[in-house]
This record gives sequence, structure tokens and C-alpha cells, in this order.
Amino acid sequence: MRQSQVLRGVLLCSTLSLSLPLAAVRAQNPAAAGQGGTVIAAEADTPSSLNPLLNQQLSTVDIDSAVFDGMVKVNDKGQFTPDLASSWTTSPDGLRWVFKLNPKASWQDGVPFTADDVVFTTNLVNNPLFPATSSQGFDHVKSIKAVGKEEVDITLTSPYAPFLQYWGTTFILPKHVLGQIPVDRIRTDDQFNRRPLGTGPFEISEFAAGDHVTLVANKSYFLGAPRLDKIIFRFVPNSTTSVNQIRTGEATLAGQTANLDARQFNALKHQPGLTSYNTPGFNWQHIDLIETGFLKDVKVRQALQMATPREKIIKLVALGYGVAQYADQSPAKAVYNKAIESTFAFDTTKAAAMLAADGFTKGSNGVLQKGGVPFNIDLYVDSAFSAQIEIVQIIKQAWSQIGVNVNARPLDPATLFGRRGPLYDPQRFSSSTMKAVEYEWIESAEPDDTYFWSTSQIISDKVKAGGNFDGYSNPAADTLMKQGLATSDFGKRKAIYTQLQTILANDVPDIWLYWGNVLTVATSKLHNYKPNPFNYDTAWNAKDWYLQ
Amino acid sequence: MGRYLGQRLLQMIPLLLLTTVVSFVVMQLAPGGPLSAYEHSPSITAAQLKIIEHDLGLDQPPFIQYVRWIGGLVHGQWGYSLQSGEAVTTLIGERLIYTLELVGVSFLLCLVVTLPLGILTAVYRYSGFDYAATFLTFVAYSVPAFWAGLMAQLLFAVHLKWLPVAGLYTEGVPHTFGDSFRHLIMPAAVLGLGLVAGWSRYLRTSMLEVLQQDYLRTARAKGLPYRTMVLKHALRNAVVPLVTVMALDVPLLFTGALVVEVVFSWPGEGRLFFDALHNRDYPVLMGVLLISAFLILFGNLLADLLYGLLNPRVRYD
Repeated sequence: MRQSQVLRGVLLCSTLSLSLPLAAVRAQNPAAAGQGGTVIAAEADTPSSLNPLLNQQLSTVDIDSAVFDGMVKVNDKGQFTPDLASSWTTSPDGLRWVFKLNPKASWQDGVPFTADDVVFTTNLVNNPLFPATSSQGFDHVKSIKAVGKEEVDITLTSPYAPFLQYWGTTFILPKHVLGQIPVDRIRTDDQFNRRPLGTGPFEISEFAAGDHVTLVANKSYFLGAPRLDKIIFRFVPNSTTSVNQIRTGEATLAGQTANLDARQFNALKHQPGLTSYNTPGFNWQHIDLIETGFLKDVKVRQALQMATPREKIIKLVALGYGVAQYADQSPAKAVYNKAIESTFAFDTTKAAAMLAADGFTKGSNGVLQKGGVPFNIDLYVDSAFSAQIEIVQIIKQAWSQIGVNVNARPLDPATLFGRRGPLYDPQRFSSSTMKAVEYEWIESAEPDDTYFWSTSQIISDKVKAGGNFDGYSNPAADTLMKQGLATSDFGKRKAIYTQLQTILANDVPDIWLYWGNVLTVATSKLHNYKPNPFNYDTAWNAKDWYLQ
Repeated sequence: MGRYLGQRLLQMIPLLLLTTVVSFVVMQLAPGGPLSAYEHSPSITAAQLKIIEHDLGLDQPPFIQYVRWIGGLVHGQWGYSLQSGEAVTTLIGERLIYTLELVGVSFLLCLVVTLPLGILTAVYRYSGFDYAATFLTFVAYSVPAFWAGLMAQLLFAVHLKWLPVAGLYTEGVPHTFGDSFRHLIMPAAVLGLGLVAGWSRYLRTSMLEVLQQDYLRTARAKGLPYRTMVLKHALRNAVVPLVTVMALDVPLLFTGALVVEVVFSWPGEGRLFFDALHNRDYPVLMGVLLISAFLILFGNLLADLLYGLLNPRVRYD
């Protein structure tokens, strides 16, 4: 009776699995109040290399922010605070920067941290044999030298206001480890890239490929030992799975990079034992208008902006977790220009009148036309984001009110943002169809947005790495952006960016939609976890986290 | 038999080669490329982009890239990930074990559910049990794995708290076999759901056909217990076509594993492929595709061989 034996086996097996009690999922935190314990953070993407200079993944940034330090750090008020550098000065012309290093800083293997490490990291990024994924700030370094062990002296090629933001926050790598490896082999050096050595409050104790990375406290951290024992980053590609894990306690933190959407956040909001964090974000939903056909006409872009129901989108798609956007700076930043609020506020009648005055007439099918050309726009959107598809649907409906016909075009992200996609195609300005793309960008704390608006950044056959897809060009804006980069005095910078925001609000290079809030959830036992819009890294202040 | 096996194995080589060519061409035709992640970053300069492009060998024409890749393959060198710089063999090697574990357990689970289900629905044909089983198998067959997976998480993990939501084992505590097993149950069951549905229908039909054969009626007339007749004589014949289907379905388990691994955060081959696809990581994609192609061909071969073994009327010379 082999068969029935097998059958009995199955039954036994299933009864067993049903009766097994839930094993202690939260068997941590035995130590004194506020000391020890483990935080398990869910991350949506899976890191491949933990080397901060070779990275383009958000999960890596989160992990590295606990393992490494930069010269300075940006706190949740947007201020620079000392990290590896204890103080710094800059010359009045903004060309020379001197950093005094913290003499107590050391690598996690006990080797002292010195100015040589800073020089090494800078030269590594600037080495043509090294494929660094970011060289912002570094490309302005004319010379860098170590003065003794505790001072770094830098001369720039030209004054560059965001130097501290870009170069200063870059994580410093150990010369005594990486200096031993030929530069062109560093990219494939698994040993370092999987278990890199830093100066930070936590060190990597385990790299389980595709599953998790475990960090343990660095008890001899130079800015004070962290209070937690461990942070485990789990890689959970599906955000519904991470919501379920938060509910069962298999994960205790879903930070910014766990990608919770507004509905998931609302579902977790009132769950006992969890604390939800609704904080300002620097991510902005917008529509790039590729300047072809009617979209070259600023009056048309202004009318489209007026026909766009921002508040409705915030209410329906972001479920209220967002703030209307009028130009490229977030209301949370000090440079924000409040005066531009309500520029081209939602008004369908005015928008229609504006287009009529511009020479558009309604055809028999209700679609506007001018010179025999109907007003059709192909509106592209990333098919992976249901919220963005909802936005496109609302806009399609809203713009049809004024006679603009929108064809929604969902595409997979690799196609949408690829070489031949609507943003990068060098032929896009000669295309006969008008194209627009709805997507999201994330701003840094730095107000400079040359990448998006400068004439020099218009993507073409020659310019391959830029961010001006629209083809937007305004000489007045170009001049202001140049001045903004070369001015170090904050008051003067603020005046420049205030002016620039007014120009952008009026020119409508993009349809401005909204600033999405950052929605994160953690166990209520976790204290001092602070989402920081100025510093995207989840673990930016992990040293101070504790469980109680 | 040996000659036949040798022939079949030799035939696999050009087939695999053809698969690599087709995969490579399709990948090159697909929009976007390995560099698009870099291109879309505000913090990269054009000069830096060129360095990366050269470093990854992407400045070479596709034909040269392919020749280099296949040349390396012959020497056991599967290339390096464009994303992480790790050797493709390492990446596949450390993930393969988890996929094999998942697929293996799922296969066994399918087997132990299919056999009783198929037999019982055939023996108690048109009974309430048969109708209920028919209905449920159709539901199981139609439900997409990602949905079934999330629903199972909600029910068994979040509400009933019987099983963990996802992952390989409970983080932050020492790993035990029991803990790993509990983590395996849900993904393995969800992965096997569709197959159990298909296989049990197959077995039911084939069982019904066999049960109506004259020799079984004779056996029953001679006083053989019904139980013995069904389980010993009928099943042995009814299971032959099922075995072929099972062997042919093994690759389905591997492809289904992609979705299940993503939903259950299972760090297997499917997840690796999923991530590599997002990043257009050509060498990793080629490696995983090559392994999958091999498994499909191997499944086919196994089906043919098993058929010969189980059915004496089939001979391979």
C-alpha cells in the first residue's frame, strides 16, 4: 500500500504545518532599556555592490549611510554638521577649501583615519580607469593635498557653491585597503564590494546575496557607540510583501526605500505597535513637455498648466499626502519662493480662453486645432507605477475639457528612460507628434538645478548625460543658474533662486504637479528614527536609534 | 539506448548555441540598455559615462560582444555582471541552490497531492467530492501566482499567524531547520498550485480510461480487492502519460519560480533574473537563460527516456 502511505504522509505533513506555533519572531532586545536590540529594515531593491562610489541603488545608499562617513553630513534641518571633518573654512572667492579632520576617527579594523584617505578617495573618483557613478563636485577639484594627517587643502578650478553638498557628503573609502588593488580591478573586487570597510557606526557582518545584509554596532565609533546591536536590511522586492512583514513583525522598519504608497501607508497607520511617519519629501511629480509643435509656445504650456487639477490629483492619487508644486524648489527648503504660489492655478475657463486667444479653434470632434493641425499629445508614463497611471488618467480627462486630446502611453521603465525612448531620442524635436512624459524626480538639498533647465544640458546627439529633455532654453534662466553656482553667500543665493523660481513658474517648462510626502512606518519601540528630506539615507542618524 | 542518449545529448549543443544567439539578439533589440540607469542620473558627467561604457565593453559592436561572451563560455568564463562586477558563475551558483530547494520541495508537494486527488476523483467520479475537486482545481489553475501568494500571506501569516510572510528564515535569531522549512511551505505550495490542478485532471482522465479496460474488469471478477486493483494495477498504467507531462512541466516550475521568488523575497535564480532584467545586465541574463534552456532540453529528454522505461512498447534504438 505504497500510495496510501504517501497519502498519510501528506496529511501528517499538512496537520503538522497547521499546528506549528508561530516561532518567536521578535526574540530580541534582552538588554537594558534603550540599549541593544535589532532593527529589521525592508528595502525594495536588492544591492549588488556595496561600494558607495560604484553604486546606483537606493538600498546600497541606505546600508552605506550606516557604514561610512563623509566629511560632513546634512541633518534634518538642511544644515551641514561635522562628520569626519570637525571643522572647515572656505576662502572669500570660494576657490580654496580647508578641512580639519577629527583625530579620533578610525577605520573599523582599527587603522587610524587620515587625510591620505580623503586624497585617495578624491583621486580615485577622478581616475579615468575608475568607473565612478558620480563625479559631481569632484570635477571642480583642481588640486587636493594632505597637510599632515589631520588637514585637507583643496583648490577648485572655479567657485562652486554646491561643493560641500556633493564632494563633502561623499563617503570616504580606506586607502590602506583599496590602495592595494589596481584601480581597474576595484569594480570586480567582491571582497571589498560585498563587505566594505568604513569608518561609520555600524560594520557589515554578513552579506547574504539577494536576501539580507547584517550590520553590527561598531563599539569604538569615534562619535560615540551606537545604541542598537544590529541592523538587518532585508530585500523585499514586492511592497505588499513588506507591508505584510511589517504587520507580522518580520520587518520592523519600512523606510523611504521600502516604497510604501499612500494606500498601504493608510492601511498600516492605525495598526497598534506601529508608528507612522508622514514627512515632507523632495520628490516631485511632473510632466516633461517636449518642446515640439504647439508645446514650443509658452502660452500653450501655461494654458495646459491651468487646465491641470493639482489639488484633485493630490487628493485622489496621493490621498492628501502631497503639496502643490509651482516651480522646482520644495516648500521645505530655505530658498523656497512663496510668492509664486497660485501661479496658473486651476481654471479651465481661463485656460480655454487663453488657447482661443492664441488662435486655436474647436474642430467637429471637439479637439482643438490650429492651422489644420489637431492638438493631440502622446502622454507617456512608467507602467510600473499605478499611481502615475492614475495621474495620467486624471490629466487626460481634465485636458479634454479644454479640447486637448491625450493618448496615454504606458511603457516599461527601461524603454521609457532608454536611449530610444521619448526623453532621450535625439530626433524628438523634429517629431510630428507632440510628446510629454509623466514621472517623478527626487531633488537633493542643493537648490542648483542646472541639470534640468540649462540650455547646455539639452539631451542631443552630442550631450548624452544631461537632464534637460524638454529642450527648454531661456538665457535669463541660464545666467541665473551660472550665478547661483558661483555665489557662496547664502542670502545672495536665495535672491537668485527666488528669481529663478519665478521664471520657471511662468515659463512652465514642465507641468508642475506636486511634492509627494515621504511615508514610512516603524515599530513604535524604535526611537530617534527621523526621515530626512535633505538626506535621503534611511540610516543617516542610525547611531542615535534605540529600541524601548 | 546508449547510442540514442548520446545522439540526444549531442543534439543539445547546437540547440543551446542557437538559444544563446536568439537571446542575445532579442536583448540587443530591446529598448533601453545597461547604461540607462547611469544616463538618468544627475550626478554623472559625459566623460564619466564614456569611461563606464568602455569599462563594461559596451562600446564594442554587438557582434564582437557576443563573440567575446561565447569565447569566454567555452573556457568556463561566463563573464561579469555589468551591475556589480561579480562573476556570473558566482552569482548563479549562490542562487541556484535556493531555486532548486524551492522547486524540489514544490515538485514533491505536487506529487503527493496530485496522486491521491487524481485517484480519488476518478474512483468517486460524479460524486460531490469530484465536483468540489473539479471546481477547486479550476480555481487553482486560473489564479495568477503573484495574487495567490499575496492572499496566502494575508491569510496564513498576517491573520492566522501560522506561517511567516516571506524570506529564507527568521532574521535576528539562530537559524534552525524547522524555521527554514516553515518559510518554504507557502512559496512551494503557491508555486505548485497550477501544476497540481493540471496534473490531477490529467491523472483523473487517464485513470478513468484505464479503469474501463477489460483486464481490470476480469481482475475484479476474479475477486481481486477493489483497492488493490486501483492502486496496484490501474495506477501503474494510468501514471505513464502523467510522468511524461510531469517531466515536461519541470521547466514550468523554474519559470513560475520567478514570480514566486519575487513575492516571497526568495533569493533564487528567478529574483536574480528579475533584477538583471531591470538593469539590462546582459551577462547575467545570458547566464540564467542558458541554464533555463538547458533545463528545458533536459526535461524533454527525461520525458522521452521515462516514457521508454515505463512503457515497454516504446523502444529507442
